[in-house]
Amino acid sequence: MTTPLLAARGISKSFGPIQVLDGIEFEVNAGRNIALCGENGAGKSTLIKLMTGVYHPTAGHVEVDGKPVVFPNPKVAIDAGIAVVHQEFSTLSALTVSENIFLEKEPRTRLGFIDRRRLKADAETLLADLGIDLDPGRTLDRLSVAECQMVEIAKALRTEARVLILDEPTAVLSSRETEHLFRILAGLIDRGMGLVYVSHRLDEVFEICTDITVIKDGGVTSSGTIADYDHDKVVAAMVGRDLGDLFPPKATAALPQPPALAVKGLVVESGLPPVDLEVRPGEIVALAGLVGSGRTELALAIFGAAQAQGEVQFLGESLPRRSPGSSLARGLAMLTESRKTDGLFPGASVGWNFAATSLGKDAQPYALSPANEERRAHSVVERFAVVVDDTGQPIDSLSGGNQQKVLIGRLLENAPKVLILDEPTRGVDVGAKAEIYRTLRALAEAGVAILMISSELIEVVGLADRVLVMRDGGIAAHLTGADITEDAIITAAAAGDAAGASLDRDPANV
Amino acid sequence: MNGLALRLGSTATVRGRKSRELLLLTGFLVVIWTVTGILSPRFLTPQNLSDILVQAAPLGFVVIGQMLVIVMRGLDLSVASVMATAAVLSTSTFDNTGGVFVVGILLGAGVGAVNGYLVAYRKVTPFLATLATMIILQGIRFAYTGGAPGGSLPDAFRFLATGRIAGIPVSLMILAVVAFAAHWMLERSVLGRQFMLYGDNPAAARMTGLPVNRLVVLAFVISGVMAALGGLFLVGYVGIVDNWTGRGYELDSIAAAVIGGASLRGGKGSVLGALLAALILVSLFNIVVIVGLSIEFQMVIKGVLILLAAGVYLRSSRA
Amino acid sequence: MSDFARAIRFQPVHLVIVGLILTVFVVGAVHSERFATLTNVSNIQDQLVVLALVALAQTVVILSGGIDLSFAGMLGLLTVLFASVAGGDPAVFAAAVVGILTLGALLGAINGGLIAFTGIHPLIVTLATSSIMAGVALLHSNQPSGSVALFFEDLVYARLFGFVPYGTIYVLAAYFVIGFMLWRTQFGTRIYAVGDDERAAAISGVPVRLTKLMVYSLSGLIAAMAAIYMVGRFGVGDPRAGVGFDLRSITPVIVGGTILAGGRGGVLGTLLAVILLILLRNVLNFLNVSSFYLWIVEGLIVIVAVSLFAARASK
Repeated sequence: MTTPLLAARGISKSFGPIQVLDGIEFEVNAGRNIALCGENGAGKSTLIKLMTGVYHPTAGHVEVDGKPVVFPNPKVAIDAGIAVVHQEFSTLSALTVSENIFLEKEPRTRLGFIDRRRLKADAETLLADLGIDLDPGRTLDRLSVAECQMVEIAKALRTEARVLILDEPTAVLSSRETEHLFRILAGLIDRGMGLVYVSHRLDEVFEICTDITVIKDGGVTSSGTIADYDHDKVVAAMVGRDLGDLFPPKATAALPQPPALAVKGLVVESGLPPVDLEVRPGEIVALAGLVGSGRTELALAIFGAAQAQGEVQFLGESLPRRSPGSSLARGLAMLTESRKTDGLFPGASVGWNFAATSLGKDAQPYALSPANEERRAHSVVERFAVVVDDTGQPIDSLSGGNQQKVLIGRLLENAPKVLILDEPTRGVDVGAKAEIYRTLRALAEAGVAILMISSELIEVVGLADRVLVMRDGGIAAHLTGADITEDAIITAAAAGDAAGASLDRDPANV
Repeated sequence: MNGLALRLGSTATVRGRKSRELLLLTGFLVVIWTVTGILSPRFLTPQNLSDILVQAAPLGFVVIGQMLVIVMRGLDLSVASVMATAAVLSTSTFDNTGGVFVVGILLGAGVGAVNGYLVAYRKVTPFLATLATMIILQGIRFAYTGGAPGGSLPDAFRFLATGRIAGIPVSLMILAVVAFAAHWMLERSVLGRQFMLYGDNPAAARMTGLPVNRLVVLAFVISGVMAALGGLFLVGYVGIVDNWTGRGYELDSIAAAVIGGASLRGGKGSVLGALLAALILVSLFNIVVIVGLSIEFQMVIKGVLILLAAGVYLRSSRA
Repeated sequence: MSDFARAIRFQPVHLVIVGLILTVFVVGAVHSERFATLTNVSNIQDQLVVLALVALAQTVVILSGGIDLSFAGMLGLLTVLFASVAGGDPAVFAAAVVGILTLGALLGAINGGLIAFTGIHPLIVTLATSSIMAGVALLHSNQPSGSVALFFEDLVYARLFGFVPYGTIYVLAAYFVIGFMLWRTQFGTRIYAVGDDERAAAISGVPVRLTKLMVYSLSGLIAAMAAIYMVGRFGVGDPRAGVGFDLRSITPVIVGGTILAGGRGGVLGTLLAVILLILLRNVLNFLNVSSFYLWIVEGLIVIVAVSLFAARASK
């Protein structure tokens, strides 16, 4: 066995009392592409950050060429030949392509000034080498997301990197762009680089990886060459339990009621196709599709947080002018995609976060009622088993799963009739996920209409009664009953596939 | 958990953190008063203490508004300009009638509305919006007065700023009423909660259906009105109207708000803290004079205090 | 965009400013025959030196995503200190220049250190240090005081070709050096990177704290340059010399197209905006318009400029 280029040896990491990784063994070998799989929150990102000097292990160590090393900061890891393309980009939109690629590694003249001519030439050479067609002199605020991703990869490979770690690199790419990326990656493997490929998309993993390591709850559950695995084996290692345990049974009875939410010809952005959809009381409808297919934008437009042309009917009544406030007042509530960005009030207490949507709904419309707030917050804490000592505790001291429970509790405060949930289980541990699924199903059974956006196919397949697959801002397919499979969703979500597109174009007919 | 510890010192809750900060400020004030009292017998006399309070009143008005804008992730650089303009306008428009206050307050509200409009609807950063209105207002004021403000100071001004009823300074009574109203608004009313939530996370505030643009405008309007009040009380106290009345108050009020626990990152601040900080600042100015230090030490002390306070709060919020 | 345009950070708004400068100049020339004279043109240049320098310092700080409100205290302190040692013979004078530039850089480094290592908002830090420095300046001397070597005063008042004061050369040299630094040094790229996105810059290996420290230090150094010039021009050190420059230094930066949030803009726009603002004041004087109206115009320009950039950024 050859010495691995990079290895994690019994590596553990805790943040305060929370143990995120526990004794991880992981090897990256030359000319191989190892997939790192696991659910959100399993510890993949933490492992990558430990191997690239962003975090420091609480136990165990990192090895390069078989020798123990310490990376005090990312720069040292980069110098050791470990390159990483993070899920969050590190590109700077105010700088040009060439400035981005060679940031901190700018070619110098003899006097120590940046050699602008060589900077440009080097960038051109590198981009051509990778088969990327970009003008090195353009600033990144003029490039598409996919182009920025290419810059990110070029930047990672500007030095003699021997290991390249890619964290969800295709999340923002179209299928054509993904193919392009795979060609580039194949070339790198041929040159003897070691790759680490982190992805949720198992089809991609089987397409380009040679090895696989699955982690769950901070430990390695399974590891080996890809040939020994099939789809189900990977999923079983990731989830660690039967899907049946995770998801409550779906709705069985037909739903005779008129739709609670009906969208007709909604155009989110000029140039995008008009969207029609319906959600009836009692059903969970999932909006599936790739990141960037327009799901979040559609949800925000329905909720009234973004401008759009077209009609939205709520309980049979047309709502021409919508805003988050008016939607909430009518019983249309939304859970946003990013807790941190536009969900939580991070500096406020659990109680304040919980009460935010029901301010002024008490007997006295202008004055707060601390006693009522306290009582209701307690009832939510009990109902959703939120782990918290005191509702006066700042919300950012809670785990992601508990934060999400508070936000879901807040959504239900005004007894909504329609719920829009954008990635409701993101950054939530498996136990909390199961609770959230049960809650959503119970709500549906109580007559709430639920529209759920999710990138986790397991979740879409396991929970949704109907699935609308979005592609390029329009609805590409409509799946019901036994037709809801991961394959069908992926096929429809990927561009240009006739089979996926022909499934059903008009959900209103169903 | 021990209930008393929770209320007074525990940093485990948001409220506990805030109580601890207020306790710290009060403690600091008590310490400097005691030490100075020991050093100089002239300090802890009722006359001197009430002088300090009356002197602090104009800053007290201004800092309440400034603190509110800072809670909303803003900053109001126009307060000093509003103070002077309100004073100049009021004294030259009417004589000895209640009208003087109305004109000044309307001006403050108007300037605040413009600031709020620029910030909420034109997406101009508060710093630049209020910088611009500050300069424009300054130009209007100087052009209006021709460089030298005329008009006499109505007697009503002098009375409100320096008069006493039953031995209690009138200005303090009015400040107390305004401060109590502001405190109730911020701590106990739905509006105040909305201000705090917006300051904590504007995007989340929008998604939870709060009337975000109206909140921003309202905060700036309140700041303008408080600045106008501060200006009127200041000229009443000083006795002379000047085109530069209130100069330096924009930065002093920011300093007091920060010392009082407000963070430029928003979502944090209290009326009580802001007033305590204003009182601490003015006390220190008084103390410098009383213990016979050169008056310039005031500026050094102010600077050190700002850094100290900002550093302490940052540590406590990270702890 | 051509490499040259990128090197000088050209923006279309600069053409608008140049157009305004020409318009204002023509209006002045048509209205008064004393306006377009060598004397007046060199007066205008004299008037813009200090503002141009502090605005240059502010540009660098704003590009890095910060703000420096310490000029009010710093200029006062540096002028009184410089004036108290810069009299006498050239050797002493030279030592004083080196000393005051070093002190400026050090004071700036204190600002930068506090900002980089405590995490306190730059506005608060520089506001506080400004107050402290102003207090120390006033403690040192309550009145304008001191003197400066005569040859230096002569130099400041001398004119090349009869209409180019050395102050202009001084300013142009400073702008050129800083412009070159932003374009051709690693530090320059780091300033833009930190101002654009601190987190992404840190991930890319940019030493964010060191960059901030150096930025404020550079700002202090440039402020010291302005202080030296002020002493040469007024013959004394004035503890109140900096009053107002904290906020005045910001207007030209913003009008020149540099974004307050950082990462975008450059020194060319600032220089053009300084010229426009000083010229405007000069012309209003000639038109017998009270300079009070200049404030109104200045404020409106800021609002228009900022709204313009905000609209562009949201596209």
